[in-house]
Amino acid sequence: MSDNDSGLRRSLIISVSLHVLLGALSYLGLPFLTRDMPVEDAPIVIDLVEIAERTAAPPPSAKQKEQVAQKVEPKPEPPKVEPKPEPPKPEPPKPEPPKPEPPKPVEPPKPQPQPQKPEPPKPEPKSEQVDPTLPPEPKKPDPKPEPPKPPKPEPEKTPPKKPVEEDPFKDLMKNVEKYRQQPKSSTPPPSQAAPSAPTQGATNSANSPRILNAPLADRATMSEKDAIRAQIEQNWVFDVGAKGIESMVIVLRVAINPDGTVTRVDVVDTVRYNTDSGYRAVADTAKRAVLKSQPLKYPAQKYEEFKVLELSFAPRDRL
Amino acid sequence: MMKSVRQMSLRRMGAALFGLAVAGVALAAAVAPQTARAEVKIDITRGKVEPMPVAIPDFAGPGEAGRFGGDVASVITADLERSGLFAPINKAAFIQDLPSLDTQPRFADWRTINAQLLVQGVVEPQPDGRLRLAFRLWDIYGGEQMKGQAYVTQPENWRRVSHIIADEIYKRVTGEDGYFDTRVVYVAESGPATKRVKRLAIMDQDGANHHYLSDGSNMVLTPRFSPTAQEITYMSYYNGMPRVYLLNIDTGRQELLGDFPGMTFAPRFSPDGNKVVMSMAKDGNSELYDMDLRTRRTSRLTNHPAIDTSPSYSPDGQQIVFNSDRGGAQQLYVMDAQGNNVRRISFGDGRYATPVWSPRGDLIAFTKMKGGEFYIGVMRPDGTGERMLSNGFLMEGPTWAPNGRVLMYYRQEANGAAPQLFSIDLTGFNERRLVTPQGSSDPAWSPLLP
Repeated sequence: MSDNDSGLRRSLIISVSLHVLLGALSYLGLPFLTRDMPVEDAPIVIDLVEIAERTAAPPPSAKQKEQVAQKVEPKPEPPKVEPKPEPPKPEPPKPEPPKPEPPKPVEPPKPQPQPQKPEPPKPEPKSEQVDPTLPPEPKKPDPKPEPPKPPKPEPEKTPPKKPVEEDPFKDLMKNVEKYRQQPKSSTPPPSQAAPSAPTQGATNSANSPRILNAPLADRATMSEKDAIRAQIEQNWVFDVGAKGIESMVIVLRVAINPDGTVTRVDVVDTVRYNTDSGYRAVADTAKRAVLKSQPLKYPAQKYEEFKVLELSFAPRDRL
Repeated sequence: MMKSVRQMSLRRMGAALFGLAVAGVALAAAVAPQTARAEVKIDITRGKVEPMPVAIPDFAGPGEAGRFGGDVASVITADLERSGLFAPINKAAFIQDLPSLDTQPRFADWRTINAQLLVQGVVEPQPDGRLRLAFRLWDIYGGEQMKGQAYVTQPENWRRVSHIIADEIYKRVTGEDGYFDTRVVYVAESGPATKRVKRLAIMDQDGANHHYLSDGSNMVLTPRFSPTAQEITYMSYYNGMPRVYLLNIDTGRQELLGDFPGMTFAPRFSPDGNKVVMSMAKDGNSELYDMDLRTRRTSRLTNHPAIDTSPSYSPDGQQIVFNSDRGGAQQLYVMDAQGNNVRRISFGDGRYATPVWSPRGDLIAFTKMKGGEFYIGVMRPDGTGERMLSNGFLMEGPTWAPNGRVLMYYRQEANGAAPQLFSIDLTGFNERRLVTPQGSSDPAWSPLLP
């Protein structure tokens, strides 16, 4: 009996302590998991950049510019980003929601000439600084870009980019003297997303699909941005010979209506805009590009993210 | 006791307030990145490089004055078009009439013909017989007036005012000063190649108002404009020896500059117009000298057995670029304005000559001879970024427009025909011939007229 009793007690103790351990584990272990979440959240951003590597143009330009423009000795080039068909990147396996991939805008959708828009009554008759503001274009029932296009973005995207990247550059500044063609190295970018990607995948392979799903859905993806970028680049006309243009960055804040028409374009650096006439001239070309590009094409269901855009114009890649 | 309770509650309230504040900060911190992230950021790194479409209707005006309206618009149109940065739209495409300066442009109409800019102008007679020219520059897509200005002038000045208006448009759109209200001095060449007559001539930058400054009895070479006055310095012969002269264009007064034992040549003004820097050669060795035009004092800048010549000041007056064969082949060198700190900036093969520092400061233009051909090229003052803008059998003597954007030079073909003036944008595009009555060489661009 006492034997029995002690045996029972022992098993009871074991049972209780195991339960306590289990409870402690679940209590301590779960918070660890959840607390890790934010940390895991950060790599997601890197994943997004990876998408950019694929859909956006490779950024070799700065070096390329130097080469051609200044006829350096043919020393071994620093490895340049080579837009080879990108290797199948370890993409998070989760199928993303089909990206609304608007076809590359061939020509800017131009606002139709409004039949006889009543001009605002002119405020003052003939002072020199008459400055009537143009009323916002009455919005057209512009069909939004259909969101669910068959999602086959990559292959058709990169090839057209390449020639665009190299050719126009050659046209920009003429050099009648023929210099030897610099040997182009074709090594992939050294420390770009490629190496980092596998490690990311390894560390959070277990829960990455789950995490990736939520934030990606309501965040602007690179190809969506590419659509707007392409639209505006089509309409951006600037002067390569302007003084200091190679180091200029014009940041515009653009507010749009749900139909993609532009309600406001503000130059962020107002001080420089008002004091530096060269900067103002380039900023004006950027503003004109935005206005000429409206309605901007963005995924219809993402108006909340796209209603204010921050566009930074930097022609340096092209010089 | 009561006191301590009150203290307690105060303390507690303080703690609560502090807690609230912390919570508020935390909340703000939590919200701020959220809203910042909501803003989609896009980098635009590509664009198109093409002239900007501009619509320039005839300036409107009543009766007699209106006669000038079409001419004024034509001069402005020609100026902007020749710069290569603007593409004037054919007037036949215009939809809207702008009979007065108060007619509001219908921007949609101008957008239809792809205009990005609109110049709206009038010519009005004044009671005293003068003309009032007024214009507005409109941004079609922004729907805003970018510039508005009026000028009152004698009718015979309409041409010059048109250039001034073109300069205003250019400046507002490009952010840099224009160069249309300027003149060009050059050497007019006539007669057979073996017995050329060389005369100094001057004209507006578009070729209008051409006339001669010298009669051709003396050989005239390398005229250079003062950056500050209607004055030029040039080389001519005195007692059979080349000497540097100074000429006031308005008065026609001419004087020999300095009394040097040897021949002097390749003169050029300093940016403030107070000095002239030049070469002086004696016993086969040429050195650089500068001369203060007020005190007439000269000082020697270089001292080297090699040939140093073709000096040109940087726009701040602190440095001088010149060419020298001190390193073997003829190359470009930069030194301080006092002659110290000489350093070579050109390292290409071939020979470099006639360097000219851009008034904008960012480039040095030069002539290069290589492989039996001549080139006009530019490089940055540190020698990087060398580019050849144009080449040919013989081309020489680059001169900058006062805004440092356009170069003019002369070009001669192998067939022995007389040389001709050409201009080119510093990007290497938009090379154009400037038509002159006779052969033309050695152009020198004036500053903007006062």
